[in-house]
Amino acid sequence: MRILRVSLRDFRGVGAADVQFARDGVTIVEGPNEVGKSTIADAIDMLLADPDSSGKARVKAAQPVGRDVGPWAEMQFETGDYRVTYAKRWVKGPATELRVEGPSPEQLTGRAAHDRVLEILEETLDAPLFAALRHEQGMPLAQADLGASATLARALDSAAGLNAASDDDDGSLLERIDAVRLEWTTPTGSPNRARLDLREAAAAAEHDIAVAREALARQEGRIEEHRRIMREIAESEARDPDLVQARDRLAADLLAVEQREHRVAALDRDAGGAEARAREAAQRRAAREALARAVADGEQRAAAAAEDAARLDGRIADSTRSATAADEDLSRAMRAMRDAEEAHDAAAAAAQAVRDAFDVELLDERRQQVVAAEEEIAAAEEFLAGCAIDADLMERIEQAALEVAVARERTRASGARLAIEAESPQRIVQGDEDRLLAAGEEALVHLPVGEALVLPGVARIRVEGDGVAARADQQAAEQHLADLLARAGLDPAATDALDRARVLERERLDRQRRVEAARDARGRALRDLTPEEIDDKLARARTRIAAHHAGEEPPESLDAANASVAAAASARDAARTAEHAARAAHDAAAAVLRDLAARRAGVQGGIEAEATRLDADRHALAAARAEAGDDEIAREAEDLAAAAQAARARHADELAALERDDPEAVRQLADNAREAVDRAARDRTDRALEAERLLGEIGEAGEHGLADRVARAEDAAAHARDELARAERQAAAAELLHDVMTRHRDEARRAYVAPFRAEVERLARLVFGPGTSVEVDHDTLQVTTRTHDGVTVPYEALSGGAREQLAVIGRLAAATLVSADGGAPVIIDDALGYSDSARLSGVGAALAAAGARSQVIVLTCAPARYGSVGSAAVVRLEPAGAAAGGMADARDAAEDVA
Amino acid sequence: MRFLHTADWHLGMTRRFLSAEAQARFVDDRIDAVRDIARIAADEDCAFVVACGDLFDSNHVDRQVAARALDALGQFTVPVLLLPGNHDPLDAGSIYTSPAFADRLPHGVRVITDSTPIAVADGVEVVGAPWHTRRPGRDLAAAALEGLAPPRDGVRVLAAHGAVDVLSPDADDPALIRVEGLRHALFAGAVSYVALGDRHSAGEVGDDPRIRYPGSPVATDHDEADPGKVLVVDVGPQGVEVHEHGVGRWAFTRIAARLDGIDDIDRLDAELHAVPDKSRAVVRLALTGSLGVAEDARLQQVLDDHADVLASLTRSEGRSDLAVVVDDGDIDALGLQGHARDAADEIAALAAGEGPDQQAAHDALRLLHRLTRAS
Repeated sequence: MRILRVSLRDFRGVGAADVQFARDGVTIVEGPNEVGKSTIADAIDMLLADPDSSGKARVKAAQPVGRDVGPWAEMQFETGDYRVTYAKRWVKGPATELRVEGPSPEQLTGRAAHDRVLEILEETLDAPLFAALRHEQGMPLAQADLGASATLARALDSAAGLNAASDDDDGSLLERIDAVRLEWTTPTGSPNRARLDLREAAAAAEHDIAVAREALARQEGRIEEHRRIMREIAESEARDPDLVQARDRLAADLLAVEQREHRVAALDRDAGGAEARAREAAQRRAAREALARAVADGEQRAAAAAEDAARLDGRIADSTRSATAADEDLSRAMRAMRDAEEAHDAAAAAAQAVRDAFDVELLDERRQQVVAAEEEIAAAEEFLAGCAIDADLMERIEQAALEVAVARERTRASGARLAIEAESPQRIVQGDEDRLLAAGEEALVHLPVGEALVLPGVARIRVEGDGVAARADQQAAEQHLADLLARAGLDPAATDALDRARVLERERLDRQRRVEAARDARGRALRDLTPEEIDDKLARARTRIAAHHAGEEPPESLDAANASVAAAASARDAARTAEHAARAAHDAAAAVLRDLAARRAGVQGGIEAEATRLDADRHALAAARAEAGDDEIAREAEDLAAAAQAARARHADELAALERDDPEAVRQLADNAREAVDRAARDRTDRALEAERLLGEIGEAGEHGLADRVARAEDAAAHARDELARAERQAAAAELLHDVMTRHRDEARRAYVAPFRAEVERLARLVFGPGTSVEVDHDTLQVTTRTHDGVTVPYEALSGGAREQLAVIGRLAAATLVSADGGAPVIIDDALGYSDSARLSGVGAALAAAGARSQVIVLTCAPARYGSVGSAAVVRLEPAGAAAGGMADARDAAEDVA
Repeated sequence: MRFLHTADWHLGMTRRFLSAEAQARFVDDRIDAVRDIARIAADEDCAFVVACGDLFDSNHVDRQVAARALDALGQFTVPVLLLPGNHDPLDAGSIYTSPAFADRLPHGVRVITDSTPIAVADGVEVVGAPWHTRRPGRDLAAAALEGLAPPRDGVRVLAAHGAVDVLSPDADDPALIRVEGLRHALFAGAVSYVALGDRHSAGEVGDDPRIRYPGSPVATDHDEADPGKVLVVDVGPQGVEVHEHGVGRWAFTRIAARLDGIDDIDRLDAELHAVPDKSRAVVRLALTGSLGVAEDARLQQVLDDHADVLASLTRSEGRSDLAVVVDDGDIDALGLQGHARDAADEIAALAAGEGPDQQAAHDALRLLHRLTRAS
């Protein structure tokens, strides 16, 4: 495709513009941003894609702002053999006009024109390539996906020296192969559900056959079994007459034998009867003999018992005498023992009397000591009870007396010591003291405070001062003492009252001591007894003494008494021993006598029983003999024994004959024959029943059309097998085709990557410098790495500028390769913003180099970026206001440059 | 005296190579054949009909088959004698004794259960040799004839079933019918005609027109000679006269063709087009020759088209030797270029080789052919 011209009227910011493009080479369309050189690219897209009736947003946006006019665009282009002028107006007054100038002229309008253009493009334009070689402004300049372009693939095949690819799009062939493949196979190459279902259905059908065949085989087995059973029944019936005949013959034999058995049994019974009778007769004879023997024996035993009785009677008489003597001995010994005991008791009593007399003396003395002590105690207690003083009172009295003395001393000290020298006799009275001093005599007087020394007729001398208080204290102390003494029952006025108090206190203490002493004495006298007990003991001892003294003379002494007692005890012990011996002898004699008496009683019992039995036996014997004599009995027994022997002999003869017949064998044979007949009949019945059952089963199963079922199952299985085989073959074919085709496609891609890569490298060296090489993905034809100066860098790791330059180079390389085949223009909308000027000149060279073989359209608002493109035609777009002057003719420009 | 001799109806028979729809037709037509026989017996004024064994394909056929057979048997206007054969022996599972059949047997139809002579019409007796088991282990015909004196007056027919010794490859089979014994009975006058069943091809035995197989009234397989008939037999003092009457419409056909090019395929196509009564035609192909890929694809198309119309179209594996040869012209014809062409060449090489992928490669080429044509 070559775009030759694009004209715009009222299209976005462009009032009117006509842009001519160089058919081959680079056309640079310059325009400020507000003009929107992208408008050119958008107009191309809208013309090719949007019907004039379209209401798309981009279509509406093409209307100039604020003006009620319809945007219009016209494009003149060549594609394939077609030369086309194509115009559209949208929004207002929509219209489409198509003029095809060649190969055969066509002129269409409206929808027909739109559809015809689509048809022409479909026929001539490699849409993926066209899209890939376009770059839109505002999008990052990424590498184009060139892998989908058939045109490019063809061009690459050709450049790689491969066969030119067919007209047929091998991509769509592969898709069709894949579609067929997926009928039976999953994308990963496994059998898909449909194929697995067929496999399962085939397996299931085989299983159905097996089931149906088995059912049929069972039915046939039952039929065969039925036939066999019926044959066996028939064979059994055929054998039956022989069996019956044998059975009947043996039954007759058995009957004869059984009759003989009956005879033997009868004879046996006869012999048995005779033998029983003989046994009875023999028993009767034996009984008679036994009875006679019993009488004789009884008489002998009676005689012997009588002898025993007599002998025992003798011994009893002897023993009775011995017992009587022993009895008397015992009586004597008992009496002697009693006497000895009495003598001993008397001796003991005498000794006791002596001891009692001593006791009385001692007890009496103790009794008197008790009485004396009690009298003492009573007297003292009487005193104490009347005594008003005690230790405490006494101590307080003493204290009071001391205080009186002290008070008095103090009183005295508080008085005055007066030395009175009588110049003439002078009486002096102080208190009670009244004395007379001779002239020249000196008296020393102590005059206490409060007291007066009276010199009668002369003066009353008193001492004044503190002595008054001391005197009062003294009087208080004296009063206190007087009170205490009064409490002690003394007259305080008595001058010796204090001394008497002291005497009384001593007396009281003494009395207390004597009470305690008397109590001790009483305790000692009583010891462990009370006075009453002592009195009691005394009374008893005196009674015993009195009693004893009533009879005999008391012994001379206690020792003598004790000696008498010991002698009496010895005598008593001897008497006891003798009494024991006599008692033992007496008891032994009595025992012997008892034993003999018992034996005698036993003998007597035996004698009496024997007599009774003997008597009965004698009577029985007599009665029996009266009935039949002993001889008669014996004869009868012999006769019957002989008869029994004869009967047994007859039985034995017949039995021997029977044993010769071997009845057991005859019976077994007969039983066996009968059993054989019966069993055969039973067997036939069982088999007939079994056959009947089988017939039922056969009829039941026959309802189901077993053979048909097998046939149906086999048919179904055959069909399933065929279907599966067909599917497997189809799957294998599609898989093989797919594998081989894909492999070759991949190999081819790898091969034709080479020319593409060479072209990319040729252009890249212009940009990056000599020695630059790249690796290219054979599927997408995108650069994967760039190597420069020996450094290999993945595409993604390159700088934004380098990536952008490689993206442009890739498009240019593709366009260059496909140019001979028609191809598509490379449209670059304001790219290379990231590239520095050095690189830009390289890109310019690359653009120029590519432009030599293809159409390159560069839309830019920065013309300087592309200044280095050598052979470029430059077109300037002006804003709407300046539209008239903005028309340019790239072709002319290009020619100018050329 | 005239009667109708038939055998080997094989009612209920199924054929694996038939589709379900064709199978149903196959079964129906066998029942219809019985009605045809009834009509022939009436039209030809036959005194009776004797059907000599294998009237049912098995004792274990579907009860529906039995019911429809009874319905068809009800069409007969003359006495009919049914002889149990090796396929339908009179054993415990016999269809003839099953209540579904025995209780509804139409008047005039009788199953031969032993060899007692049956007076089927005035002066006519039939002695049967029915099979009671699938392996009788003896010559049942000989057993039926044993001690049989010539009838005092009239005609006697022996109805028997089984292979005859002169035609059987298995000479040791104790159940074979000894033709010598039959001849002896005919010679002695014990019987006047021996009506046989078992062989599906019609024909006389041992060059004696009085000993005959009528063949199956409806063909059952490819290896049958002259099936689809019943026999109308006249027995008179001058001897026996037999007329064949066509009954069955089914045809089992073998077509052998050598295919070496598109013309041969077109000829085969025409030949298949010419097959009459296609819905009852079972065709087996024996193909030889050598075809290119495109021709092979064409052949496949032709065969697929006819398979849809014929009752059955199969290729005999044993008798076919058709090679598909791949040459450059075939690959050129695909119109492939570039790597697609390379891939096609590789697959063609695989198809030409002897490797395990040969079959798959052939199929792949055919598929490629179809896909490129479809584009």
